[in-house]
Amino acid sequence: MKRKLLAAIAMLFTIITVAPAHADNAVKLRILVVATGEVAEDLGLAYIKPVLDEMGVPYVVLNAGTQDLTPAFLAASSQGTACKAEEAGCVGNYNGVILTDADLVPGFTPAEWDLLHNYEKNFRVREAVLSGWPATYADLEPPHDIYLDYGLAYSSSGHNYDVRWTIPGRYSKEAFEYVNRNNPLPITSLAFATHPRNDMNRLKDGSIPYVEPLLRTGQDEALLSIVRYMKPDQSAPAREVLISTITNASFLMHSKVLAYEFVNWATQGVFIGARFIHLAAHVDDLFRTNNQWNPALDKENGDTYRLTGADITNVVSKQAALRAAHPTAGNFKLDFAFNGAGAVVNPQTMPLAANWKDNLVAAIAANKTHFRFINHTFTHADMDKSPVPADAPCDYHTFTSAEAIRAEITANQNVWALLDLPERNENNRVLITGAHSGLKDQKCTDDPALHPGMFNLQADDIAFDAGGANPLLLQAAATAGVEYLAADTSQKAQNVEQYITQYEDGSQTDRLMLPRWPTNIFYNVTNPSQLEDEYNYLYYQKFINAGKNPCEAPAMACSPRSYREILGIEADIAVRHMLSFNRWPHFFHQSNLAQYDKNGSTLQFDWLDAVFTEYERLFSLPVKNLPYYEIGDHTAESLNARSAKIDAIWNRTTNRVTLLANKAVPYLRVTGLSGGEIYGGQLIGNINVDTKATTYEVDRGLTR
Amino acid sequence: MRLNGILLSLLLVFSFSGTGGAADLAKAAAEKTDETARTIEQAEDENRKKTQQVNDLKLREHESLFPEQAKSLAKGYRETAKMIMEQGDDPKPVLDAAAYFEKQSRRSER
Repeated sequence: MKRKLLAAIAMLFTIITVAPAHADNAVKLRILVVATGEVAEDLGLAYIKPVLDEMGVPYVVLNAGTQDLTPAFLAASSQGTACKAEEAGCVGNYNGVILTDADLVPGFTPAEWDLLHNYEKNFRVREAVLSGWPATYADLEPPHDIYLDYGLAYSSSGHNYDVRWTIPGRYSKEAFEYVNRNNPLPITSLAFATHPRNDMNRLKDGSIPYVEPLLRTGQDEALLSIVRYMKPDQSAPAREVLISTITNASFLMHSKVLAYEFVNWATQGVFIGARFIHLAAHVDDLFRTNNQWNPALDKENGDTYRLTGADITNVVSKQAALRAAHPTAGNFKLDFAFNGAGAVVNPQTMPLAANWKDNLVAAIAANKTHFRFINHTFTHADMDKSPVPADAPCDYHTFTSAEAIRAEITANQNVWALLDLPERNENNRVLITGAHSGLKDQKCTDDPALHPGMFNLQADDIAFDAGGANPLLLQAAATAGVEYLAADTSQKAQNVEQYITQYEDGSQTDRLMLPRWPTNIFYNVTNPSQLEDEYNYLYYQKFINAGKNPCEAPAMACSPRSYREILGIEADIAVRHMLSFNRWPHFFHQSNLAQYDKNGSTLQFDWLDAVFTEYERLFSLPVKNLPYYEIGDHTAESLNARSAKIDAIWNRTTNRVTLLANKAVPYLRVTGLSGGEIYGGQLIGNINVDTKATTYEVDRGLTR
Repeated sequence: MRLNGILLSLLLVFSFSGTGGAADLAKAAAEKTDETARTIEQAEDENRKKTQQVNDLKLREHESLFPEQAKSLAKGYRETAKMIMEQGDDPKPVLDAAAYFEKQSRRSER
């Protein structure tokens, strides 16, 4: 009798804790982003959209200002009609919801809030709120039911908080697993600080919001919280929301830190796409000399610097020290982009012969396993278009045939073989032209000394997307088997991973442009005082000399900066690049590896150390340091995946995801499925998807 | 004997007070070191935040859409303020936010 009673109680308990019923219990792996406007109007949408795009996460945007949320928008039967969760064949269209604004006033009506909340409850879908006022709103008509309540009471506002992580144990494997929780996170934009109410006020569906802050101010106020909507008769929350009351934007560092979790939380860690943190440092011009900046003259004065064998030995030990000092650096290696003309006995004489008497060449060969190498052309020749007419004055020599340009590529491949540098075949597919030339037309103005009247020599450039690239370079690259071509993100239309389709290169395939980040560690400096002087000349003194106010010019300095300040600013910028999840390398020059003091310090390793130090203050994720050809391969895979239509359905009953695409996608990154690589406590798989459906087990990695 | 006893007592007193003094000095030095480290750390945190603010501003200047986005945000907060008033609550923080973003928008447009 007692046993029967216990069984009945257990059954009743099961019924009440598993409610509501779900016939198919399935959702598509896709995010619903509810925005207040288009990207041009909605700061939050402009913030989260590039994050989703970079990670390759499918999403749909509902503009609450112009569109109504309808049942058909949220869930559909196999016939494509609106349906309810308890109906057979009904699949939720989203496995996560992101709101760019907390109250969506005036676009969202109480009825739309009810619809959205019911969807979240019935399909067990989470919500992440990027920013806004922590509203509590009731219907204006009696009985004045509360339809929106984040369980937070306003406390203060400000735009300068140092907040600390206070992630409860229950979420330690689920929320912000990737951040360094030991350090405060500076908040530099407007935020509403709140206190959790945790009272017994109920929403109209009977649920009560319980708030657990994840980020708190010095006064113990909450800026980021998890809200669990509990019903008295249920042990599992009816809904779960991650709410930020901090203004977020793509140009803010704290927003970069928080971005991933909005996606990860909303999707419960199961989504198409993935993110990794990357850092690569390309050191251009190996075997060449670089002109040197003269602080006394505020210009180059004909002095040059070329690395020595001793510099290379020093670099090997500095690289080992960097790895030892920074746990996230792993097996970090520098990439040398080299010009073989400087490594042979006579670049004019065929066949080429390696110059083993040169201590730099000998040191590179002896230490080759410590580095990676990239083809930077044989002589660093300019690949820009020839002037029209051909005899017009030009600051640089130009090529008039694709064959001559091809010879620059292949001669350097020969030097690769002569020096027996590693991974030659893989790297034959990659090219960095001298100064990224050939991707825009400089119109023959390159030397400031020859054009004293021009304040900005780039003012007359014809950009890549305006027809400025040299078709002869693209033809030469195609015939030499080059697949990936480096570009400079600071140049117009070169800050996009893109196939170069708009220029005829005579081949069936298109070259893929791989952007690289420039830094303010200039090519013509070897020590801090040189760098400080040139930096302050370019960003401050040059404007003063011209009678202009540098403070009024974008991105200039209002006062001169010290080396330490410059390094801090550069490291902060580089970390932002890393936190954008793209794979783009930063590029430097061989001068930056010169030892400038008796401790073997170099500008390059000062930068790397500053970047890793800053990164590790914020993040704990290992940093990926990929060879350039692999960056190219992964970029090509991402572009292919982004161009496909992926259908993915997560059946919660079987806990499996079914994947299907409209074309072959050999490498689709998916987070939260069993198998694959463990990264930041989550599984990231590289899955082969095609037009035939395949299923995979879900593993959210909550026990790792 | 008595003199020896007095000398021994004095020695003991001095040695105890000497030990106590050294410990106090060491403690004070440690506290000072901790305080100095805290001051340095605080200064570094402040510098780091200033650096972040410099870069926030620099990057914001490159965002051509920001003035419009800030204006929309301000407009949204004014709508929220109306809603808060309808709900019988104090709209001041939200009106302040609206004013803040209006200012940001104007500053970025310049």
